[in-house]
Amino acid sequence: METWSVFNVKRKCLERDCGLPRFNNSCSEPVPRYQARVLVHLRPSVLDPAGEATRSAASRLGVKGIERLRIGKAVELELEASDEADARQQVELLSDRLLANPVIENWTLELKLS
Amino acid sequence: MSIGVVVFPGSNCDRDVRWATQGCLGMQTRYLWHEETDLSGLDAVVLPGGFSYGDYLRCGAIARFAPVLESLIDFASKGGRVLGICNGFQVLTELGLLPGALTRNSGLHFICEDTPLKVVSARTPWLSHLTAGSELQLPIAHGEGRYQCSEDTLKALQDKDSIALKYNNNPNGSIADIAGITNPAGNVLGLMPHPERACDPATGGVDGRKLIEALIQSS
Repeated sequence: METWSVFNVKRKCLERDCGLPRFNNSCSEPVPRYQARVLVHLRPSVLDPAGEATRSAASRLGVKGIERLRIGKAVELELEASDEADARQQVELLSDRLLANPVIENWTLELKLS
Repeated sequence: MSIGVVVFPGSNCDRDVRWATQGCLGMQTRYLWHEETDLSGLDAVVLPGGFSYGDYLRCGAIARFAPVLESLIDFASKGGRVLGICNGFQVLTELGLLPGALTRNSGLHFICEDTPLKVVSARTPWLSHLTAGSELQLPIAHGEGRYQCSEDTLKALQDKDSIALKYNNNPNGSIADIAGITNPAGNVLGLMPHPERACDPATGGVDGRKLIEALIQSS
């Protein structure tokens, strides 16, 4: 976990307040910012015809030996949250309910402090 | 008796549906913008084909959060008839009113052609004018119409007699040749073929007419 220096706190506050220095700036507590990457992939049991087509193009390119090629998607986001557990909870909800359809897709989450 | 046709940004069969319901069959029809929430006075709602919200993320994934659909869940739970055609079917699965999901056609091509279909269940008002095993021909036009669900879901669909239509030629690789399903109550039907494009004799067959008429037919 990164620790916030006094300098950092001040800079972050100014950024959030559009960079304008203010007297009586109420922003004394920084809200941590997290970077998340959600990887969404088709469940192994679901046919991936686009992956199959890409695999066949790979062999035409001359890249041999690819036994399996599956196409998914990566969603990158940044969010503010009170702590890592909160950030994780928010992104898990997002992944479950919007980014992936659990009927046909799985997802994994990478999360780190920005 | 009145029918609502939902219009999402990116819908492109909304006018086809209205031509079928009002133009060909004389049923009073009004459009429902995706931000509307008032479904009062409607007997049935159609989710038309097209590319709602550009089909971003997944087909139907963003449309699912449209304000009109919050009202639709309530409407359907009270027995109101809901017909999801093509993209509308995709929206109904994302919304959870129907099980399963629609995925990329196994052959990757967008397929636009007339397709022979078989009635699996005539249990619901949608197909009660036909008997199980009879055939009809409707056009399809989709790139992501391969119906997918778990083995458990498939068994539940079979046990509850909820598979309405199957393809004779399975053009997209759907599990168990499924082209359309209903909810257990039978008031919600989702299908990939376009019955609204088979209502006007000037543009082909009229096999879709009875199905569209079932929107307001008493059961």
